Amino acid sequence: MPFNRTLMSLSLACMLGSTPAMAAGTDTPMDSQAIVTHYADLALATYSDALTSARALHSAIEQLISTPSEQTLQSARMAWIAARVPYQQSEAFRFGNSLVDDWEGRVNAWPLDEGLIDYVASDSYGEESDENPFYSANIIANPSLKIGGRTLDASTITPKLLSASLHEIDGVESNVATGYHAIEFLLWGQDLHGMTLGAGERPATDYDTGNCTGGNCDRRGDYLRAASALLVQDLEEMVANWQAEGAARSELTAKPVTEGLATITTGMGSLAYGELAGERTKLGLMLHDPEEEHDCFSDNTHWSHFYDAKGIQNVYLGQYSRIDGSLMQGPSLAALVASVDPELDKRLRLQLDQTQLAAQLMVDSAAAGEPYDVMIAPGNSAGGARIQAFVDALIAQTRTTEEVISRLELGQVNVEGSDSLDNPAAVPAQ
Amino acid sequence: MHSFTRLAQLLAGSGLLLAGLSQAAAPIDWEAFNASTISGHIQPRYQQLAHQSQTLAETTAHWCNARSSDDFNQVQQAFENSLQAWQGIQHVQFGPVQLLMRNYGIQFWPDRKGITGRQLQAALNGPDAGQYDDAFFHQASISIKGFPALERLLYSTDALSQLQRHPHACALATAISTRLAQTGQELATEWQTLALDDQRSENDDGTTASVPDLSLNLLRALVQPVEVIRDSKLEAVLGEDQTGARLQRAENWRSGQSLASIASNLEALQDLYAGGEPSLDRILRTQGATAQADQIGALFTQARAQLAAVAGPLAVALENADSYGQLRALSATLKSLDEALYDAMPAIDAQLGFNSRDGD
Repeated sequence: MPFNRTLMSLSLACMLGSTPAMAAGTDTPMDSQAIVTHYADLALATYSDALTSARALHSAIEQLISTPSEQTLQSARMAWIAARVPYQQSEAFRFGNSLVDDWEGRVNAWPLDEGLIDYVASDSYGEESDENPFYSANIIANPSLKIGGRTLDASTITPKLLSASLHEIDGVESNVATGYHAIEFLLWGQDLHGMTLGAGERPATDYDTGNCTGGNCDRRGDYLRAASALLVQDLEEMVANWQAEGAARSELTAKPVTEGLATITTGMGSLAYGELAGERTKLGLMLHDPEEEHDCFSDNTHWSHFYDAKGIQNVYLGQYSRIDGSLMQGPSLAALVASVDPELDKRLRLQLDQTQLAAQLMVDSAAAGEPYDVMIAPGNSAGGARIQAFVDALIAQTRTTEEVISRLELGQVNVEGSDSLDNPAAVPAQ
Repeated sequence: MHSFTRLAQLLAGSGLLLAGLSQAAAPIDWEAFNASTISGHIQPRYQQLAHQSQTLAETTAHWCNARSSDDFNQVQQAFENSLQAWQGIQHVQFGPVQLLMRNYGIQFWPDRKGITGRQLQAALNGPDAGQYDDAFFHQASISIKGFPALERLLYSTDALSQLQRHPHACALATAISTRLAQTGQELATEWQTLALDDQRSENDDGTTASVPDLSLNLLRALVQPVEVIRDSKLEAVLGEDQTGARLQRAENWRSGQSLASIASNLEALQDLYAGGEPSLDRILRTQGATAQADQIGALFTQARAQLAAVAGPLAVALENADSYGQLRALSATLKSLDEALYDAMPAIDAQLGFNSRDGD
């Protein structure tokens, strides 16, 4: 106990000196713990909404398969777009929570070599790839496949075939057999409009066994049903992970509270910067390639990006608007930052708003006939500027997120396997 | 359990305090580190890139006049010299190379979707083929502006006959290499003129931080590439076991330069670590992190020795169980080096922040 008190005074001396106040020093541990617990509650609510909307998608898909028509196809597409709203907001929980990050590839892997799944237009898609022997495998058309010396029995298309045999087959990440984007491809088909207006135009008759277009309509229906059943199953698993005693919640709450707070900021910064600003947005702008679009079949990228960014704002503000219209609110990282440095909190809130505004301008642009794949066209400087503004806003908020990490002294916390906290003896030795 | 948690937090806090005290006793001369790293590391390396790329542009243009099979190897040799000059400064992803997306334009890689091949075909055979002027490059995709596109033009299986017979292939190769030379020259010049302002320890917002922005950028340029080399240049190629190895995921596999590129990277990183005046190595030692400095130095030496022992090129090395094992060992060394570098950052009070690969 005296030892403990000595450390306490050292820590206080530290606060009074040049280094910033520690989160745990200015705020009671209970408050920080409440922030982390509420963050886990937000995760549970967001994944629960994603599950609810995925179940609605699955029913719409069953309708499409049993009575294929332009109307049932349109309903299934609308259900897919609705299902993206909560799911994209859940992505702020991905980085930092290893359980979520390991699972994510099953539900939202991207980009995909869609020729693995179904027919493609070979003049634009090509027939082979350096990296992927399964580039044009077309499972829907091929009940049995022999590629690279191995034979694959795909005579019956089941969820297990997709998840255990096909997904990332041959270790190639773009062999995406499951998840939102595989379903998106099966609902829309390839977007053959390049960088002009228009999305995929798969006809409903691709599912009509009586009047089949595209061939193998029964197998296509089997594939789509299996993929949407898997999505529901995977989301059920993630919801359970965030319930009381669930694995993701337990992993989070078992961490020292400082690491719990660092999990929130890690998710915010990693999603905003490397993933959303870089991989999913800026890269497409630099490549002028419509394949480099997150929702490239449906042209729903603007909404996906909008809700991705919204999820980051949610976890900072400790709030979430549920799909039933109710608003969840609770102890927030924002309040903790405000208690230590009101100006910093104000700045980050403003920047998160600016990011939402920039995303809204992309949404408006799409509504006015210029979706993401038209904005990235070479020579479309106004469209390019709209996308760049979104990227810049995300970068700005990431820099401020770094300041938050620094101000709350979460920076030396290594989220995965933390020497500084798990092995405290190693720290003062330095 | 709770008391342990609390104790851990307090210890973490006191660790920071101790680091703070030792800094007060021996302040780090970041300005000297910045200045010597710019003049001794960054500027000469960009000059080398400018020089080798200029030679490449001239050699390519000259060869395209006669297109003789006899001296085509001179073009390839000039390409390899220029590529390795780039690999010697690839780790610097801030400053002038970030402007106008030059870094991506010099090298778009990895290219998981084969975009370079597709867009290169469009540039060679599309409706506007043959017009490779400034306006073309201004609008062009990053995939066809730099080394990867040029490597395809010079090393694809039918590269020589394509360059000899295709109406536009030689023109495009010349245009890309000319553009690389221009970019190299611009980078070298801008680092000469801009660098003076950037060496100060003031940050953009006018505050004086304990670690200046430029120093943090240099630290990122040292630390972050180690993981890139390991993940993208080695692990993705090595696969889970030798039967799962995939040459075509390697950087520069067409030109057979994959291992040479990693060697250039490691040489450059060790120079950045140990070459300054004061060097980071010495800075760590003055902060009392002697054991860590020893470890980092030893891991650099070990990694470079392991790589040097692999009989190349990579295509051959992947087929041989011994050399495959050596590359695995190199990967393990790089993992230790990555950890050692990150672990050393608190000793100099450096917080590197998020990097663009965090989302991968």
